[in-house]
Amino acid sequence: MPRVSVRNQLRRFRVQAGEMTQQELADRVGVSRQTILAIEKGNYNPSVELALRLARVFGTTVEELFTLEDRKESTR
Amino acid sequence: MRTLASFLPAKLCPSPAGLLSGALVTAGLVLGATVDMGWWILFGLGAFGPPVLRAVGLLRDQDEFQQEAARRAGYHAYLAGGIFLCIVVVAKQWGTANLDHDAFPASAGLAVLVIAYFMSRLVSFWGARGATFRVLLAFGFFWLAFSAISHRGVEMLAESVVALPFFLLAFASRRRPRASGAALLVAGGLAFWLFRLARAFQGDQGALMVILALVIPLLAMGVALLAARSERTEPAP
Repeated sequence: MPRVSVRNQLRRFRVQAGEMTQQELADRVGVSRQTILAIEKGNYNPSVELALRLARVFGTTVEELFTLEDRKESTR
Repeated sequence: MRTLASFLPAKLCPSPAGLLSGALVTAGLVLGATVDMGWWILFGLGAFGPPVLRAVGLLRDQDEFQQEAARRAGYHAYLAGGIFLCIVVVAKQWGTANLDHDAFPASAGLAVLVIAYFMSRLVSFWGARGATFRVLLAFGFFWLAFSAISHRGVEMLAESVVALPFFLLAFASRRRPRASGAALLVAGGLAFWLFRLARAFQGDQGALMVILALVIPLLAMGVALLAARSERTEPAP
């Protein structure tokens, strides 16, 4: 199976949405601010349900918010 | 009246469950060390009460990231606790072929860890009804095999009847999960009382084995059935 990682554009969408804070976004989707922080930093991949709720807040699609990227193999 | 939330920034303010848990843990530790170790019951309530309530769905104060972090921490605690208890048992019993009282608490703790781990995996994998169905069938067939090996003739038939409730509950758990869950809790409690399993707390290894092999699985399946979500979300066995 190819090694891939999930990238997200959450921070960019927050900025575009009038500098929405992490806390505001967290309140709108019903999670804690730490969860938004973890998603933005790439430490946590949200469930499909949460991804859909995030996409709904920004009026976009999950594919616009989250993308699969091939992970580069480290060279030795 | 001003609350804690009014003094602290929102991001630093612990949840009510976290506050209560911390208070109970602290009180248990302090009172246990200064008055009576029986007060450790407060420590136990604080440390394990909220997670148990969350596990059975009665406390919903965490989002999915927090739940994931708690699950990961639980798995690491299982690994660390299991490895530590294995080392204790091996160190205590090195060079012997039986389990004496020195290693008994550690081996009992290890057995509880492993049984709870596999019961939880079964429920996650098959769903509460599917796991209960399979576990009870396994109990029933195990008892039939035990009867066939250890008895002959009429005695064997009489012993085999004991397997019947397991099969009945197995099939009932698919159609009536809530009622079956309650019946399993009652059966676990009855087994504890009928077989006088409280002796396990005085060091009776046989009684402890019955608790580990029979009572805990029955209670665990009962709780899983009662805590399972509605049939629409629960996969059919």
